[in-house]
Amino acid sequence: MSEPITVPAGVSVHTYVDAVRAHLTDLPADDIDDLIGGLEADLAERAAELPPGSDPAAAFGSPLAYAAELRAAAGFPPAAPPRPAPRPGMARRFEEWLRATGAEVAGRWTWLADLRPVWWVVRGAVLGGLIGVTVLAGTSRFVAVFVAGVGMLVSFWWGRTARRAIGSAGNRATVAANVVAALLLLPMTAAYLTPSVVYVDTGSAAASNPGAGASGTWVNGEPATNLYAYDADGNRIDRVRLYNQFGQSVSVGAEGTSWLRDLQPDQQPALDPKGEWLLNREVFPLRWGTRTGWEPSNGRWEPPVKISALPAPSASSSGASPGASPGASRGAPPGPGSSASTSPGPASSHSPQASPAVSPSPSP
Amino acid sequence: MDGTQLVKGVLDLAVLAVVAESDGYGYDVVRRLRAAGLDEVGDASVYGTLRRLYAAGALSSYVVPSDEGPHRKYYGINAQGQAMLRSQSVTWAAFAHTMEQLLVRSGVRS
Repeated sequence: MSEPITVPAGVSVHTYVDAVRAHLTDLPADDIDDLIGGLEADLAERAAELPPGSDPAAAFGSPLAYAAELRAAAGFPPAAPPRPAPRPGMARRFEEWLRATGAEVAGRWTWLADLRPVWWVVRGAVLGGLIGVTVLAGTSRFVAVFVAGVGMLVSFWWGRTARRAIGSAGNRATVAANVVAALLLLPMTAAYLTPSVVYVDTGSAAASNPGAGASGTWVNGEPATNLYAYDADGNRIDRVRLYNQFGQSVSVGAEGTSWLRDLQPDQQPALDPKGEWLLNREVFPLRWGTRTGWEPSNGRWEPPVKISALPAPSASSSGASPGASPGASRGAPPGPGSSASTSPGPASSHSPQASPAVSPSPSP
Repeated sequence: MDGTQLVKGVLDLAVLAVVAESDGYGYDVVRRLRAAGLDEVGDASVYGTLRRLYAAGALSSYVVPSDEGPHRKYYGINAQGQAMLRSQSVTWAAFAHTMEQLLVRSGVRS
């Protein structure tokens, strides 16, 4: 133990007094001040009488013993037992076991140390990938891979500098990161190899939909090519935009516009340079050119100018009318408009006066 | 016999006696006790005793700022401390006399 002689005695004494104080923290603050106040001056004076360069701890004894003597003489109870002998918690014991085992393994196979940088990169990929999968899930695969790449860089940088002067907190964080990465190594490897497991398309309620995974709008298993909106009174609503529960706008997808190719060229919307229809696919009914939008689509159903009004809400609350809500109308007796959806079945094809969901009469 | 144990029993009395001579700060009291021949006295024991006597109302205390370094905490005896000193010195004298008698009778001392 070579205490540098250049260190002024006062500095060491100050540290020593702080160490003593640390063993008194269970006492009331006033009592601690009574005990410690003036102690630094006294000890500094005593330290000045020591041979230069002496370690105060060597001259005064251990701070713990010193504090114990102070307490005893001052009439305070000895420090509570849990302080000097804290029961090591599970995490603590695991950490100690980990360190001991690590040291043993590293001592047996010294070449393992050369593989450290490899581990740093793997660790970064695992942890970065974890963040990419959990936090940023559903954004895009590119983002997830990018985050994993950043994780590799950060982990490598951390590994290179961790060796130098990181406090015990940083050290412990490193251990924790290593443990997590080691535990997740296999699951994450599996996830990387089978991207479909990782990158779930959260793109909406499509999951419960026959058209799952595809963009666009699906009604009763058919891609919607157009939507015609009516209000409760049966009046047309023009230029409607619809949103689902995720705030995603409802639009017709690729399937919903493919029928346009079958139209006469002069009936078709114009094309942009990329070959996409110049068409706002989120405003219903769809329109382009000189069309009003209320022309039939490929379903050939002609949307009437007005449909029958729905019964008053009170009627539906009676529960007696399954036809009171559009959804329930699917179960209604076969009528001209058996479906309120936008892709009417064949049965409704030629029913200009179709009045979907209008029959307030109870089902037979 | 360990002198440290003996000193512990009479530390209150010894510290009171030293402070009664003149006010002193912790290490000053330690030094004077040692100069008086009580070599076994421990620093921390003296500081703790000073604090306890102060808490018991036998000593008064004041802080003297120091130009170079931390403040010094001085202790001085008060009336209650003086009374304690007198009563304890009587007890000590009786005890010392008893011990002396015992040792003389057993023949180790003459």
